[in-house]
Amino acid sequence: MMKRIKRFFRKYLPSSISGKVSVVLLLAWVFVAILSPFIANNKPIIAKNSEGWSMPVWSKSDVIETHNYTFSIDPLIPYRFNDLDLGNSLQPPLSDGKNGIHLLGTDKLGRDIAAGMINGARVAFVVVFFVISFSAVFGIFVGMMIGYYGDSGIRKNIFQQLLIALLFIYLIYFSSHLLSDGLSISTLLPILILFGIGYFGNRLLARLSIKRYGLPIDIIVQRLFEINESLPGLFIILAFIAIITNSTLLSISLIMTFLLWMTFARHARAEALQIKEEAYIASARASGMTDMMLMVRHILPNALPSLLVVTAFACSGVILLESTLSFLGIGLPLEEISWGKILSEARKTPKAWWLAVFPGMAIFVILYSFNTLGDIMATYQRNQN
Amino acid sequence: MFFPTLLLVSCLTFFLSKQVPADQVDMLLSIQGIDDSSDSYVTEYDALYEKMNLHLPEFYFSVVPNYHMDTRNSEFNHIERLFISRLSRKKYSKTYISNLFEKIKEASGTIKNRLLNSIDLNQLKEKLRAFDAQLDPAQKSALITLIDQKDNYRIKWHYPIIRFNGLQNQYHKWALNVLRGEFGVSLLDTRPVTDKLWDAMKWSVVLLTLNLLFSLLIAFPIGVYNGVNPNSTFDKASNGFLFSFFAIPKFWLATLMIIFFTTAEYGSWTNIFPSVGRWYTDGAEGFLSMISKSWTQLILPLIILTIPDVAYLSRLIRSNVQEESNKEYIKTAQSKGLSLKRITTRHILPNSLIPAITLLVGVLPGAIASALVIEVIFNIPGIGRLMHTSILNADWAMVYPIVLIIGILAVILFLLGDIVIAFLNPKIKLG
Repeated sequence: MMKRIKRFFRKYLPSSISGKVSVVLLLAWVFVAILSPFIANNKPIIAKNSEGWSMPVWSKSDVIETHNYTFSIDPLIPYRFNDLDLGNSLQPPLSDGKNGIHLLGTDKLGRDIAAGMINGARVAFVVVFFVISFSAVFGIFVGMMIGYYGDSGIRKNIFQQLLIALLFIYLIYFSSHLLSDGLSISTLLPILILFGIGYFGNRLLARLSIKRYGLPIDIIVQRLFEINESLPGLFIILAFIAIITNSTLLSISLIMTFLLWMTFARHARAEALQIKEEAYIASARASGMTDMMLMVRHILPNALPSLLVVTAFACSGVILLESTLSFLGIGLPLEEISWGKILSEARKTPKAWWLAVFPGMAIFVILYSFNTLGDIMATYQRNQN
Repeated sequence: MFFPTLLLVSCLTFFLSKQVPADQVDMLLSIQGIDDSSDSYVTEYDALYEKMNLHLPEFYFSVVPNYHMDTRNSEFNHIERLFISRLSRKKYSKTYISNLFEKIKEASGTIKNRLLNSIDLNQLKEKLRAFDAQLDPAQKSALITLIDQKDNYRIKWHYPIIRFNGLQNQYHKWALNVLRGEFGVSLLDTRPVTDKLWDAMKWSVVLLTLNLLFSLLIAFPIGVYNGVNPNSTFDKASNGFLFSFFAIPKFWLATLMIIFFTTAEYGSWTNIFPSVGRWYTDGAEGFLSMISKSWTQLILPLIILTIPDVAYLSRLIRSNVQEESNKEYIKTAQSKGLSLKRITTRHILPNSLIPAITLLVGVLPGAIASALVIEVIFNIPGIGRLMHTSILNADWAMVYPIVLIIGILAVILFLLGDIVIAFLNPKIKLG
């Protein structure tokens, strides 16, 4: 397994310095994002007092109590991102605060910027992780289906098509109720029954000997692509976020997924269209492989390199979008601090250059790394062909 | 391919506008000074409700749960409608709700409204106890026994019903109004949406055309030079430099510029550009006189919008030119003895421009989106800032027309781009 991963990276990361630097920077970002509560926190990681050893990091209380620790390992940055300290507002970098040095200064409410940056890394990572994993899975699935089958690949008679359309409407209905009612037998059972009806109904109706038509999946999804291309994504996302009353990182990610899956689907479709014409696909089909197996075993692995390029650029797009939204002050939950939010504060206080320089630098570095990776992979593939 | 896209865009914006968490009728009434404490509230509400076509079903067909009670019709007034929909959302059966409702209706006017205003059945029960003296004892006891049985009438299993509504629906009327150019009024100041849109559009168009013009003027020479002389020192240097500009968020560049170059905070020589000003768009001043007065305000936004576009366009033009100059007919031209200049201007450029037009049109949605952030930062009263302020002020009647108009414009621009390309390149046929 390790060998495979190593070979994979060696193949797609030719020995260029900028590529290696980008990978190191991105890994550092992921590391910081995952360990963010241990890097910037106002509570010690491990501490000992008269009651014994404890890990105060895990305690939920935001109130700082005096525990008289005899021994403690403190986080690198002794502040939490939402620690208010109105006495120390707008301190420049490397000035002293109540828990220790403010590495990157403080904002108007006395919150430590270094801690805010660490949390910003976490927010960006969480959003990228959710959005990319959801939209890659869904988008690649849909794209492969419409690319492989096209408009005439799945042939159904008129009753089967009606059944599928009806089931689709009902599926949307029940899944929308799943969101509001929560998971229970009375919400899940109808969906299962629906799938049952779909499966057996389809088989039953297939016995009718009437003329069959292609299921127009390609044309329907292509219309969606067209909307996605013609409308500015930011406006659509703003229009969606506006109707959400209490937003979380997950809900914002879902809204971004709503747009981003189409990018993956478009590229997966193009790849599938190209690969399915290859001779080895025809011979695999002749040897008795089913469509599903063909897609998973042959088309997906061959489409993966160019989908990786798409993923790299999509990651940088998502981070840009997330920081733009939080810069505009729309969408992100109020209690979260992100790079965009710190930047938007800088606009109101021109004196505090550290509010503008550091978060912007972080966004720039991450975007640049993703773009470089994507560019290297794309050039490598172009030269391979 | 043109009309289905427009139709889908209009459906999308319409359904998004139907999902907003606020009551638009209530917001419009509160601008007119009528709030729910005044006596005429319910009648005024119902009049506006009918005027805004909200009493009609939403679409040509509707998918509703079987426990759903239709209260849109004019049988019910505003308070009754709210009461029934609150109970219906909690999945009480239809017959139970109508029984309860009939019983409450027997009470006299003011008490009836107070009873109907209760949030849930528990509150209704408390209210029944509180208004003990004013109620008929038989009616009260009947109501309380009904409320006590409430758990027996909760619906557990439900299924959707598809209903067909015909042409008398909200979407149909809304779409006809849109075709006539009527979008209603803004919930913020009751100005017509079209007026506000038109005012904002002028600024956005000025900003976008200037942006496109300048970025083409700069990007074109760079791209062509780099494409004709690939791997020259200038090509390598500018390529790496321009690539890094992709990764610079425009709002960061704008913030840095504002902080360092519009104030004297870091030395008097850095105070180059005018500070971000306030723009008044009350319509009293003409558009041209406003531009002539405050054109200095546009310099900094234009610089920030242009730099990343230069990076994008020049790289594009470079790759197009390079691809074209590797083709066979260029070698033929070279062997004929044509000069490099003539080959570039007469052969490479016209052929490499055609794909550039498609990409130029493709840039536009992104350009509008990035102009949003810049307009917000620099207080330019364009479409983007209008969208931003409308969302922050919950002016829903404004938000969705903006999305619709931008969608329509973008679709038209794509069509125009296709037509121009088909005109330039006879090999392509429009599908």
